[in-house]
Amino acid sequence: MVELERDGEYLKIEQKFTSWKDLLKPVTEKDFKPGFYHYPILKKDAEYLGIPYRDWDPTEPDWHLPEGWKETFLNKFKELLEKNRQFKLFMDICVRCGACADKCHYYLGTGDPKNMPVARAELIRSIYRRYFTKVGKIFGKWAGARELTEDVIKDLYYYLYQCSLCRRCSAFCPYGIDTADIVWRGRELLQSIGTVQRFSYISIAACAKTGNHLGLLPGGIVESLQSAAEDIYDITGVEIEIPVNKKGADILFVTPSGDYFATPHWYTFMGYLMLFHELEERYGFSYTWSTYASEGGNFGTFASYELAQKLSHKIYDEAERLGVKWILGGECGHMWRDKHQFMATMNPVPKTKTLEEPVSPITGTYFENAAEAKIVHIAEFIADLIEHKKINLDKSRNDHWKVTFHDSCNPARGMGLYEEPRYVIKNVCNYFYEMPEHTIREKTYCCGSGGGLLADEVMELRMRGGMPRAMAVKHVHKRYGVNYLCTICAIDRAAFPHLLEFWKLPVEVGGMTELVGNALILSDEEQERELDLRGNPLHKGEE
Amino acid sequence: MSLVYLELFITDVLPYIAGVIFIVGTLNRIINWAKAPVPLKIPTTCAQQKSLPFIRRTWEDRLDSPYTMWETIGRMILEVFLFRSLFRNMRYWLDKQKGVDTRWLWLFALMFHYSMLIILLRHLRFFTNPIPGFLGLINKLDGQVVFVPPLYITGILALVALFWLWARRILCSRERNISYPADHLILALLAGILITGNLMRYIFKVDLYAVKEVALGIVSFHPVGAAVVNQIGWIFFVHLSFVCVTIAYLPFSKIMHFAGVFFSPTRNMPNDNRAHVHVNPWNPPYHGITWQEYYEMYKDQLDEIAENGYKVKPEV
Amino acid sequence: MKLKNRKDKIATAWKEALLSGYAVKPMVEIEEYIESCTKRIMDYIDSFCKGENSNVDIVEAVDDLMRYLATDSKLGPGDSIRQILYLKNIALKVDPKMSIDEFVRFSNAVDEVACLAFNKYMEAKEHIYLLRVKEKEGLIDMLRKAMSYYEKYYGELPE
Repeated sequence: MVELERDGEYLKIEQKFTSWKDLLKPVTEKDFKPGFYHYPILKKDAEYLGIPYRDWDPTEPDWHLPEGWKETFLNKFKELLEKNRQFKLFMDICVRCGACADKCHYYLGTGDPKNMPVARAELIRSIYRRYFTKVGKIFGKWAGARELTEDVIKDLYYYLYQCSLCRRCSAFCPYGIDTADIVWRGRELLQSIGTVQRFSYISIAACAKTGNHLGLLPGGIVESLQSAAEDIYDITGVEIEIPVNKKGADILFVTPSGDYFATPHWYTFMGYLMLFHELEERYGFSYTWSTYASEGGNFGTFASYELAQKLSHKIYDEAERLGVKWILGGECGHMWRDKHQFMATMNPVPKTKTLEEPVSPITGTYFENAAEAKIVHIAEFIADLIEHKKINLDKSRNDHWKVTFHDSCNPARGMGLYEEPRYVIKNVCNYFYEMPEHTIREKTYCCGSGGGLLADEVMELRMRGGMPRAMAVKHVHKRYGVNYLCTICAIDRAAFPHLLEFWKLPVEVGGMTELVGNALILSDEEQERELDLRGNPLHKGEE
Repeated sequence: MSLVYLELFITDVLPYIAGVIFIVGTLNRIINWAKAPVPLKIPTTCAQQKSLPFIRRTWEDRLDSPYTMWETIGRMILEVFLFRSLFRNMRYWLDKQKGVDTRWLWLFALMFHYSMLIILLRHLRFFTNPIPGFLGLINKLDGQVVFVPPLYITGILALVALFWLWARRILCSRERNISYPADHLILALLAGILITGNLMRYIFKVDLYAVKEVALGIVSFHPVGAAVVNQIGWIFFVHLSFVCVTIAYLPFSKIMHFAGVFFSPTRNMPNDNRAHVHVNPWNPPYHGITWQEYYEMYKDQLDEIAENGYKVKPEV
Repeated sequence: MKLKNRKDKIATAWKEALLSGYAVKPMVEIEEYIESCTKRIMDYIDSFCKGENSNVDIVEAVDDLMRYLATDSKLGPGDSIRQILYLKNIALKVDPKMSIDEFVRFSNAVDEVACLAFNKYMEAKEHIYLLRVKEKEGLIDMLRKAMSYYEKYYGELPE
């Protein structure tokens, strides 16, 4: 970066960050740039969730930290260390080899050295060394330790909310240090003194109250389902009936609440409904939506263990109440980190008679990998249907799309879901192209807006964080003419349209089930379909 | 005269102090880690999970996203012995469609660790009597007979790798930014050990029989007297002090990663979360609304859904 | 010095200056993006100096670059334009024997680009705000819907 020298005489090029001392020097509110820091939590959310609240502004020098904040913070730190082996371990074993340094898309995008995963973890490690190790107590700065001051809190607040918990660094770390876990604990520490962001806590509070992040009431969900059914009628001429809160159904369907309202989630939402309707017609598939368990996602996983548990509790609760056999989950990223790795641990699976090991009622396939948690991913479910040729598909209806697939971070690195969505996409479209190898599968880049960063005030950060991914899309767009970015994550679908628009890429974003819905031939559909789910004319018979 | 006391201190006292610090310190660390519970099963899945029968899983998938215990053990073996994750470290170009290898870190790290291992094994011949057979084999393989005395490849390789690792901490801006004094200190200590060791072998030769007597004395708790110590050159004491200081420092340093890597939950846990649910020993009870409370809150809306027979139909 | 050679050298030096904030070389995605911007702009400036019509879409190239600079965490508007004016220093450094005549022409070209860049910088910033507004509007839309459902069941919202 070119900077003006003080005397204004000449310009010089310099690199700002040159030694380990800079690593320990906290940034303060003066270094906060608009577009890179988050707004603080709202009073009503803080009060509802029992988080200490005071009126503060991140750009002011005094953050009005609550009385005794230092003790609160350090006590919480001690508690977390005692409760979490991985946290304690990750504090101790990093050798700072630098393998992770150029793996973080925020670092690649912003060029801020403190965004290197190792530097992000050092924010917390330096406090750990000062207060919980002898070497750090004695040698202080020279052992990489630093005093806990108000500036350090600012440093934590600024950088812990510049991480989307995507775990790309963790895949490259020789000790498997999971920065997402460290950041999660760090945010938990900040939560203990009420220094947290606004965006995800609005959704957490809403979800704790109404069962979904958007705060939709049961009536709202019903109307949303209804208008989706109307849209489907307009396109296919088929009247579908949607079961809600139905007791005694075989399967409970859970999806992130973004699907009920937002675009382009909406088309995926229609895709689900069409698919289930077709299965109902042909095979007597019995499923239900729920207004109580109306949210698959879990913003609590961006905040703390307790909040994550609070939000994922309702799923099994509702499954038990409705007496379903197992649960089917829609397309979402962090939802699947939660459903695959956290949910059943945080909220033990109820021991009821009705919940069974998941077996597809249509193909009879036993989903062995979901035997205990009893929740199956929609991609696994659809892939199984396609493999057994249980649904009729017309691939050519997706011929106007040249599709590429973005592996969402959490299903990729937190679950290992790579082949199933690809299998489905290849079976419903004719044109499928992969992005460059270092940007997909376990090396996939994040959209830049996950982990509670979907707030509009950090738009600059999101654009830069998503830049590596946008450039990879640009590459396939130029090379193959890709015009459809398929993802299996609701946050991706919310973030990508803006990201791609900013980087000037005319590429549409949508979900896997939307493509399935397009290609699906409904058995009670009488007329030839002329529009796809978005209302675009289908180019049939065009050469 | 006083020098002899110093030398006797180095051979007869220092190793025990270092040994005690090392053992107590390391055990303390490990017990400390082991004591803390593992709340969640959080493997980093770097390949296809086990799911449907027609979704192909190669052996790589099995090792990078293990489902069974044996696959997990395989993953740990790859990680510990071959540094699997570092091996992933490649850069790719977009247009040129080719990978650019940046696996130097992997190569030199592997070189360094294996050389150190073989060097340690070679040193066993000082501590054992009679010398086990396999040590002779290692010696033979490692020693290059072209030179007299045979040149040990590992001694040189370890030094080269060490200096490469150190150079990147000093010369590359990225590593310089993230290198604490502690990182340089441990490298300096290891460099001290390797340099004095090599010097002792090739330039300032010492009486190996006396050295062996000292070493046997240490392990059999019969420390040697001044008579033996006097036969050995000074460089041996420098070497030994470096070793002892390093060993004593290990439990407080990042070198504890050698034990820590076995505890890392992102690597040592199988990706079978949904098939075998992990139990968190301190899982707190749930606090939040229940269905009953939810029903009370939105009674009229929920009742309306019930009135419509739990069905939603389009208005057409 | 050959003109073509000089052009490439300046473009490379400029790219490096733009990326010098990175502690370590960024991934290829970022580098290629910046490289394509600097190359195109230098092409344009080169033809401008020669008095030829350039076939480079300078608006596009400057827009690309300013989209990058407008989202930087360290640069303000002035600093972003400075990245372009800095081309003059680079040119002098690369070719100290440049004639005054040549330099004036080069300087004029750079000024031209800088003015355009300021427009584009503001547009990029506006675009960001537009995106923010879009997101806010989505939220308001959602709240409005939620409110109408609320009113349906519980009557008019209290003032």
